[in-house]
Amino acid sequence: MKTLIGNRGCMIVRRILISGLLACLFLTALMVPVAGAQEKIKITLASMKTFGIDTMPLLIRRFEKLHPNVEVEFVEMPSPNYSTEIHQYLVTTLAGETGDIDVFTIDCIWFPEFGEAGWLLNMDPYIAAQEKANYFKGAIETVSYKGYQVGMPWYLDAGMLYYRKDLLDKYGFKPPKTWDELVHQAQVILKGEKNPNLHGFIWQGRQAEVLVCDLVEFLGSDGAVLDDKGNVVINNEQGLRAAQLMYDLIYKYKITPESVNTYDEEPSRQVFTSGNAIFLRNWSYVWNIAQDPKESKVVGKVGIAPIPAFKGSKSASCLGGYQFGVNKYSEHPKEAAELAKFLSNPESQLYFAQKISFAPTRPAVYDNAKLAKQNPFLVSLKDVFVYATPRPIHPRYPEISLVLQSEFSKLLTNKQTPKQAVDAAAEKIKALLKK
Amino acid sequence: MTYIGKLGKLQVSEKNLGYFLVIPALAVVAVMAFWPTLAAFWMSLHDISLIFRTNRFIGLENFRTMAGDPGFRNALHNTVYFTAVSVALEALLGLVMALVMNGAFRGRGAVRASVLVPWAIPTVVTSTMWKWIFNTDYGLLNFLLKRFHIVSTYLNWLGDGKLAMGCAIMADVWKTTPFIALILLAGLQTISHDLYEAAMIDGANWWQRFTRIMLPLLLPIGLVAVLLRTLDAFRVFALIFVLTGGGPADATEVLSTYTYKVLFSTSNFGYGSALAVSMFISVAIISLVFLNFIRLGSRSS
Repeated sequence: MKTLIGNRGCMIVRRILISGLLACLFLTALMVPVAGAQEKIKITLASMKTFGIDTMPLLIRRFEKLHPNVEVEFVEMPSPNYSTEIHQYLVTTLAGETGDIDVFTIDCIWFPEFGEAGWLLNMDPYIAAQEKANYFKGAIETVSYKGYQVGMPWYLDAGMLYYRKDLLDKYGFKPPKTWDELVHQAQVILKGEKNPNLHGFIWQGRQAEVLVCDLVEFLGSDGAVLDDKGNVVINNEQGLRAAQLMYDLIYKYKITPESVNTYDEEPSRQVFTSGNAIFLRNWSYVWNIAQDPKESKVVGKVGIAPIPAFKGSKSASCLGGYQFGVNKYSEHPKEAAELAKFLSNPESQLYFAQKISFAPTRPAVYDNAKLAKQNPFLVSLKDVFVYATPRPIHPRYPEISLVLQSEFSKLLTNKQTPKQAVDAAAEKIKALLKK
Repeated sequence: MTYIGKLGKLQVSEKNLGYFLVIPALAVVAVMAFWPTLAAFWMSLHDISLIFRTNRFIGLENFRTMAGDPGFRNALHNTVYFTAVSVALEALLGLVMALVMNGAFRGRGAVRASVLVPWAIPTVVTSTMWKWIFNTDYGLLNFLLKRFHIVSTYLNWLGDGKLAMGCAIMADVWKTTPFIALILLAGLQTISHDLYEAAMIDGANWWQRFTRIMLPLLLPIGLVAVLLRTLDAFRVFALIFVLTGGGPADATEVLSTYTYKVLFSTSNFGYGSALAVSMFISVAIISLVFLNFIRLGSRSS
């Protein structure tokens, strides 16, 4: 520049630039009060990162178009496999009891905890009475605390039974409805296949949260850790029955390898997709991987079914997934509730289902013809979700979970009997709840 | 006192200048280390729960709870066991490695560099790697053991309480022995060759040279290495967290993983802080004991 226009020219250019900049600053300074005069309400949405494409920004723009007086600021939290970090962020932000974030995505197991802490806005005044009937029952139970609805359902995940269609067909079996059938089928197939690498039934026994999810499913629809009144009932007949089954699968029926106590989701998935298991209990994400020839040796040979049940009991599937919550200290509760409702409405749910295969919490969305064509697997999950059962609902859930993980891990490593496991768990949880 | 300059009207001595120059560093340490530590001490005397909105002073109640907490006792026991066994193995193997590397042979530089590799890899990465090596169905270890007919059925390495702790120790030894070996190697190289030659002339054999000259002279620096490793092993977190998460059946739960669970899973900040403080005190005691040894060791030599 110097050689072209000389030193003086350079200075002029600089002056123009600087005065231009100052003018810009001045104008922006003028703009601020103008924007304020229009009284645009600003609300903040903290959402976990979804895998694949970013779905939130588009929905936010759509919401802003419908509500021209509202501006949504978007804070992206980590993806759900960093749920501990999300939990920490939400706890520390909400504990400040300010309106720093208005709407946030929350793991379904944190509702009682956040509800007890008084961080969640009661949504009941903002939703029509008949609206609840449009969701799965389990989904509404999940976002409720002490009789109030304190969140809006987003998407569901649930435990389900993956099975080897080819092997079951070969031996003339139908997908098992009861645990007895599953044990029988696995034993017959294992005997017939004579493959030393083949396991009967793989689930997750690692001392981690997922062990509690599996436990909820073994407890079935008529067993529980806590009853409706919050009493500890894990050591009743149904609890003992579940513990006995978990133990027997490994040590009596020998269809589950002892190494199940090291498996969380991914290692157990790997056994199944390498073709080394007849049955697998896991979440919905396994389906896409099982159909991918790069990852899976069982493409086209896999079926899904609801988790089996005890005779005379109904199937229970552990409920997972993220939901929406609204900060009780939000400065604009009405608009925040509006945003949460918008993100949970049928159009938004269909959008999430089509774009990133998030399973809707509204049964009606599954009936969409387009979705059925595009993602038949998702639609077939509807049956599974009907039986979705939440984990123990209690503000001390994280502590209860740690006790269950420890005591049932001792059961699976044969350090204590089923009776000792449920008794020890009951005793420790009772002591916890007395605090 | 030597005056080296003037700061305004102030005469600045070298000593005062030194103090002046470390102020920024001290300030950073105070804010980053002392303040949180004091805060943790303060919180350990309270019953703090974000969820139940409690925050009250309860004195030493948390420490009384700790004494009767089987979870804490189990974690303490595991931590001490892990630390003792892994540091002992690391010191022994480290010494052997240092002796080998101290010898003159071709490619010594390459060997020294490659030995450092395990230590240079981030712990989370090595832990994930070992998690797969120990995997029951697809792990390298079981594959090799079966291949060479050492075992007939796969061992459930991380799923058996007794084996899991051994696995954690093995992974730790693999990762940190090089650290001790390097420090000991540096120590070996400071020992003058004249001493060995004089001893040889006096008729000392290999074993006598090793036990009478090398080991005593290596002792002070060896103690420093062992001290550093002990403190590290006592605070082990990432390795256990990734490898077993404290399981199975609490068999590998150590103090730091237990503290983490109490603090962050249950938002029980008072009791969690008390656990953290107990670790702080344990580590301080270990350091004091070792520093005494080191002082004695250096005085005697």
